Amino acid sequence: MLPNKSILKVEHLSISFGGLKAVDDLSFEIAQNQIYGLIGPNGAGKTTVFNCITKFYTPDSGNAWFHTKQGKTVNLVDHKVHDIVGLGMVRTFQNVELIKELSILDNLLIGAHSQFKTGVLAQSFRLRKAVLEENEYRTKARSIIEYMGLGGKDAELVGGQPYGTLKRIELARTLMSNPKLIILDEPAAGLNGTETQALAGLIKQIRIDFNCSVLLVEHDMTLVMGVCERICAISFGKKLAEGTPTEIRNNQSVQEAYLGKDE
Amino acid sequence: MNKSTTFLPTLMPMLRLAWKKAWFRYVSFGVVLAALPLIPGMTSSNATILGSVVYFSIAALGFQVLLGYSGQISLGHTAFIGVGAYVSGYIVKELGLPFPLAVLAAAVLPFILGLVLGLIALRLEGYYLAIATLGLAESIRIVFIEAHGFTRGFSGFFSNYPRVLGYQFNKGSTYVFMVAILVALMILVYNFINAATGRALAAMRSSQSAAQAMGVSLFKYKLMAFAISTGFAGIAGAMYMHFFRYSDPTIWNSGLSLNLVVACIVGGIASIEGAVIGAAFVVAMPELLRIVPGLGSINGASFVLSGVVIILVLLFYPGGLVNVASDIGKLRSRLSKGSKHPERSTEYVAE
Amino acid sequence: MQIFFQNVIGGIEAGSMYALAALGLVLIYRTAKMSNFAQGTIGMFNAYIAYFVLARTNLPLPAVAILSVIVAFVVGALIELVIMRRASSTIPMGKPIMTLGLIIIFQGLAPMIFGPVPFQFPRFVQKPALDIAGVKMLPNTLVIISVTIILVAILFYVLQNTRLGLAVRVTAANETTARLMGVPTRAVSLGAWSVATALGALSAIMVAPLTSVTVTMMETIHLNSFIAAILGGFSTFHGPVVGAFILGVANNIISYYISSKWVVAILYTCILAFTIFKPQGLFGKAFVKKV
Repeated sequence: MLPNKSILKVEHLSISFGGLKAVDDLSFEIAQNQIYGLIGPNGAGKTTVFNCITKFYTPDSGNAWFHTKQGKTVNLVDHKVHDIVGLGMVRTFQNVELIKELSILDNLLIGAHSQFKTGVLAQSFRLRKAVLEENEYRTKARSIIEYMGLGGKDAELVGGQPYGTLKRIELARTLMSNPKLIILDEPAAGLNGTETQALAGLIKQIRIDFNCSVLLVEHDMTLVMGVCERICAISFGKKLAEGTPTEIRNNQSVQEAYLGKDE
Repeated sequence: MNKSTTFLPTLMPMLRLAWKKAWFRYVSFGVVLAALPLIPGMTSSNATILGSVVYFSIAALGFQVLLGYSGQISLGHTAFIGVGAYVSGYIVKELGLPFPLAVLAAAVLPFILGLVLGLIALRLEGYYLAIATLGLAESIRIVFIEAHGFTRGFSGFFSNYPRVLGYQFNKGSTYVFMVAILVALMILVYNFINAATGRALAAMRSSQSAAQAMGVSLFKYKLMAFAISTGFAGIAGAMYMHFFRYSDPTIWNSGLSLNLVVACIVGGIASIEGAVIGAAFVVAMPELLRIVPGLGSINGASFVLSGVVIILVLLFYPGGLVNVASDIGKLRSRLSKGSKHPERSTEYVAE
Repeated sequence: MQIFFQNVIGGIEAGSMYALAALGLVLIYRTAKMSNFAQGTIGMFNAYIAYFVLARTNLPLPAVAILSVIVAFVVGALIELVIMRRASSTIPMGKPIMTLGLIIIFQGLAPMIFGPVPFQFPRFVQKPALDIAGVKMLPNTLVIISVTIILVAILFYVLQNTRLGLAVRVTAANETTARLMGVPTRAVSLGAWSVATALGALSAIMVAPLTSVTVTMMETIHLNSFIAAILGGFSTFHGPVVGAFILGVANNIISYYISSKWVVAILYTCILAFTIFKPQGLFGKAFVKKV
């Protein structure tokens, strides 16, 4: 099903909406500790692929084999949307989904939700184990805030932060769940050139420091070509080509479908 | 004199520190609330109104978990309060079992009822819970009327003040007991709202997608909030039964369910203090209006007014009454910022 | 067998009232994306007004009925213009909660203005019952059923075959897309409020002669119209109408053959159980939520 050196293997994934095939028999495979890019023109079905493997949508057919952080191999299609993060796969959203009325620290703590073991009763009575657990994750959240270069902002509300900071908070939140695979939906959207460059460095650093793989959907070609080791190009839900950035850049059909149109 | 001058400076910082702890604020509030009937000139009927505020606060607090914190709405919560009332009355009066057991059963039974109903109604989006609870309330109202052996129907069910471990409560001590229960529940709610559960609920209200992606099962948390609210409603019912010592089916009408919504919205959505303030508003307003000349003679004027107030609050002051004090503070600091007390505004900024 | 048909006809009559009310609920639910909990109460208030107009003037009953439906139409528009339109920035659930506020206001005002005494409301047709093969049927019943069928037919025709109907359906499917396509969604939601409130009022005037005009006269109809919408599914316009007739007939049959005391509890339990297996209702489709 899934070789040991891989983290995720998507097989024959298909989903259609009202007769329209958004993803059509798509297969690709991501290696452990790889940074993998999924590119394609607007409406190619990139985000739909994300939504299928994170179970926001249930695909019509196909499998998504995943090596969980518990050391098992599972088919993500058989799991519920809220169970995905606990298996070791965590995502961001195209339009930044944060909790505006909570502090940055609290937003990061939501990222650790799947890690919490105590229930509502233990929390209500502030049992020792609940307090210890809360403190443990608070410490962790503070260190990640520091790591992301947002030190000192723990208590600030998320609402009203600049867009670049919001993107960082959302990325920071993914790190709270001890992920094996982080999937980023257009992480560079809305960022300027310098910010994008800093982001590229950060993604590479995160892969090393947190020992995980990264899958990203991106429009910004400089980011994709700069950080990804392998790229899969899709158009109308179908795979056009897969390979190294150089291979993709030189691929005839990719240029026609994507680069040609875009420039 | 001498003693107090040395005592005060050490006490004040301690108090200020303690005041930061929610449990200390809630306990202090409880002490004041419990002491209110002792005020000279307080009549017995005023004490009854206070009891009404406290019992309704317990129900409103649970309803706040549902409406304010989980963003769900129920239109039939009166049924769960009624079940709590009858169950606790029946257990003490007819089965002769101890009062604490009756309160426990009054919490657990509506909790289970809420769990079962929620398991069915909460799988769907939209307003299914509101309609399902409305339907349940209508069905349970018929049970209250028809199940004579259990509720005595329209003749009414009479019970007594609680008796715990041989100690017989009277009206005053029952009131204090209710206040203690309210304060305990406020502290419990505060604790889980300011922990992982509260954050999950906040995420669910603000961005369902983010909540799900971070591992929050929307169904589980909606169900939990609903079951907690029905459990609290049951406790409130038990308190009602043993403070007013009477229950009949007309008490558990749909207006009471609406009043819970009014309490949470007018008091302040997603606020523990707001639920209590709102409950006081709902219970006390009819009494206050009675004093107003002209309005006092019109039956139901306060009910109409609460409908107007809920719409006005939602349109113009969605935070609710709980924000009045801090908003006045902000206004004062803004007014005084200009010339007289520049130092005062910095004080607020620092906060 | 005659008794059975007697019950079925009574059920269709009650179902007519549920159907009109349910259609009103679904119109608002689909176009304005909210629940109008006050529809029944506003209908009740309209029935009071109709009663007093009838008692104080010499207008014939049909004229009063039409007048009262027009008044409701205007009231619905006012609620949308004065309250709902301004509430776009309120808390989530704020709008349906405002309709709860409206319930409180109208329920409180009715006894204040009209007094606590129930009023007898005349039937549209006073003629004695017809006998059709042993099944008795009041001409009034016939009027209620036919008015409902004609109205529902007109509404469906407008929804399916006119530009106006298309605008409503597009708004119901996706408000943002509709606005981008140039559909005047605000006007659609204004119209939905007007028509829905008018339907609620009509349903109240139909039920008034059967019960009497009281503050609680619409409570059962209102709740049953919601239940009918759940049974038929909120995602179509015809589902709730079919659900309403099923509910009306089932109600009468359970009431006669099983228990008239427990009919409400039995019926609601059955429908709750039904939603376990078919959560989207009889005709409902599951939505895929866009992330």
